[in-house]
Amino acid sequence: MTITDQDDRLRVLRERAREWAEQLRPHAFELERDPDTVYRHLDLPAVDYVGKMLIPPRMQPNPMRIGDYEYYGTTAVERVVAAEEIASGDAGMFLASPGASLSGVLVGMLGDEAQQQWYFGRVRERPTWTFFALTEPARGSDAMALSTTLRKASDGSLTLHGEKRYVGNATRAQLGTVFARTGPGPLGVVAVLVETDAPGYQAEPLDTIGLRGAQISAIRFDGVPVDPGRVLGAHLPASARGMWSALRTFNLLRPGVAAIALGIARAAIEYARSNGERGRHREELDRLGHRVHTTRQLILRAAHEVDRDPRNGYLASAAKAQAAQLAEEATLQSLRMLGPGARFEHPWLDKLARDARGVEFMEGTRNVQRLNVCHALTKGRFDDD
Amino acid sequence: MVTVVAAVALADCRAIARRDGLDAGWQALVTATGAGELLFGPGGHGLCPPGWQPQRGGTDSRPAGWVLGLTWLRLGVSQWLLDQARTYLAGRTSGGVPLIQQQLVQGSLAEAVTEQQGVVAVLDALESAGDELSPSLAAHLHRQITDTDRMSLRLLGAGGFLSDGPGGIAHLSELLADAHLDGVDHDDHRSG
Ligand SMILES: Cc1cc2nc3c(=O)[nH]c(=O)nc-3n(C[C@H](O)[C@H](O)[C@H](O)COP(=O)(O)OP(=O)(O)OC[C@H]3O[C@@H](n4cnc5c(N)ncnc54)[C@H](O)[C@@H]3O)c2cc1C
Repeated sequence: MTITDQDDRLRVLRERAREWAEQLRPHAFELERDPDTVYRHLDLPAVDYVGKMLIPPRMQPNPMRIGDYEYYGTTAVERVVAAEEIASGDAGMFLASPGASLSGVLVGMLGDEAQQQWYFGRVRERPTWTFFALTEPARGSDAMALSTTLRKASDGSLTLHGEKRYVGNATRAQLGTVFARTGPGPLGVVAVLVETDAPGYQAEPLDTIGLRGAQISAIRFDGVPVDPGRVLGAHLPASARGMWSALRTFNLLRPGVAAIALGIARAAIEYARSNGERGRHREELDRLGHRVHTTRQLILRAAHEVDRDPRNGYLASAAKAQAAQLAEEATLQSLRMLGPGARFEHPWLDKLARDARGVEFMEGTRNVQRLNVCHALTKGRFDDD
Repeated sequence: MVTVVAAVALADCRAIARRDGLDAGWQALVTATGAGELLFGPGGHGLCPPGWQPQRGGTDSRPAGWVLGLTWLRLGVSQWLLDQARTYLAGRTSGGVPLIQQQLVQGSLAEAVTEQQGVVAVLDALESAGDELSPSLAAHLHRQITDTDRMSLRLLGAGGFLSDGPGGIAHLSELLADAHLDGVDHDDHRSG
């Protein structure tokens, strides 16, 4: 495909996704109050598209079609374009949507053919929610030190024991992936596929200040039985299975999280522009507009980079840190522009300001991203640009 | 029988909020200023206590010292939040080292306490000179407090994004500022 085709494809997607986003807003507050209302919105095109994203083309006979183009959501570049637009409508609905999500990337990377057919078959068949459980009550940024265990009995059967926390969609999901320890150190970590109706699986939603559609949850695994065929990457060397795969999954999806943050920032600025006193704060809005533009270009570049080589997540780290900061600052600044009582007069902006707080933590905090970026800098990764 | 109510100075709202949290600080502010239970800000908004009966009504006449007291209060809440973050970071490790010993974390903690001390310094100087807190300076200080609270929230990890605990309190504190300030601190003003 030539660059021009690619550009046109993305332009068409962006325009259409912008229309989809408009349709999310009327449902956003209802979704906040009751995250289960997502079940009523499965026909909204944004939700439908997210549900189809990340299913490999060879397993997806029915991708999203717009004009002459087909969209599978399997490239980071496509995902960032869609994510920014959809999140500018409602990031909560984006995160509440069914689909392969993070686990899909992991299964695509580690799963053998049978596992992929099973996982993507389930996701394709009907609206299916999935989860990706890495964070634990005592381990967040330091996920490498996770303590959930996959125990092997003398007859070879496997069971899962431990707790996870802040896991998106874990209460409404049908299946997902869980990182667990089989031995010490980073090589002693595996990812397994788990169905949520398995005995010993228990998930409870956590009450959050924003992004409530995501319904982040606490999970307990009380001896959940795991079929040996559901351990991911058994056919790969140990070094390619455990934490390595989590990091690579994050690399691939991090530009998309940055784009969600950008969508929130942009929505706040657009709102302030159209609801503020005409002509006031023009300079401030223009400055924010330029920051949106530069962050978008950085995100696109980061997405191209991970599409080219999934190991190169450092630019995505830079983009995510910048976008999360912009989301917080732009939402607070927009509220200030609308004057006293803006939180009450403009609940939409209040919502955006609350949502913006959450993207900071998704797929790694600002500090963690900064450490990644600095590591890459000292390794000479930026020497040629 | 005569009930003796200890006099509460506006500045005490800070220490009370820092020690006992926002609710206690709010009670202190109401006592110190003699404000009614429900006070509306310039935009006609106010935060009511749980179980409030709307028919009891409220007032929009701000008692003397209200905005100054609110600033002390939010500063105390900000300090309470930072204390929560310190406790959290001391008890959590990364690579076996407590998070509070990570230099990036220490930088943020230092920045947060510097911002808070800036507010303390301004308010102290103002009170000893017997000066008024102008709406524009008030808006600036509250913005500084909000930005500081956001640093603490980031340090609290996803736990600070939950509605219960520090995450919800920080949001409430932001709402208080929004309801009660005149709101004149914009980039426009700073650059103009
Ligand atoms: C909306 C939302 C959705 C989420 N979805 C998922 C999900 O689907 N699956 C999942 O597994 N998890 C999920 N999470 C959890 C998320 O991945 C964690 O919150 C994140 O990794 C940070 O961990 P923590 O919250 O424990 O913070 P901590 O690790 O406790 O960090 C606390 C503070 O210390 C800083 N810090 C930590 N380590 C260092 C260091 N070495 N150097 C300098 N500073 C450091 C951090 O930057 C932060 O400011 C989600 C969180 C949110 C808010």
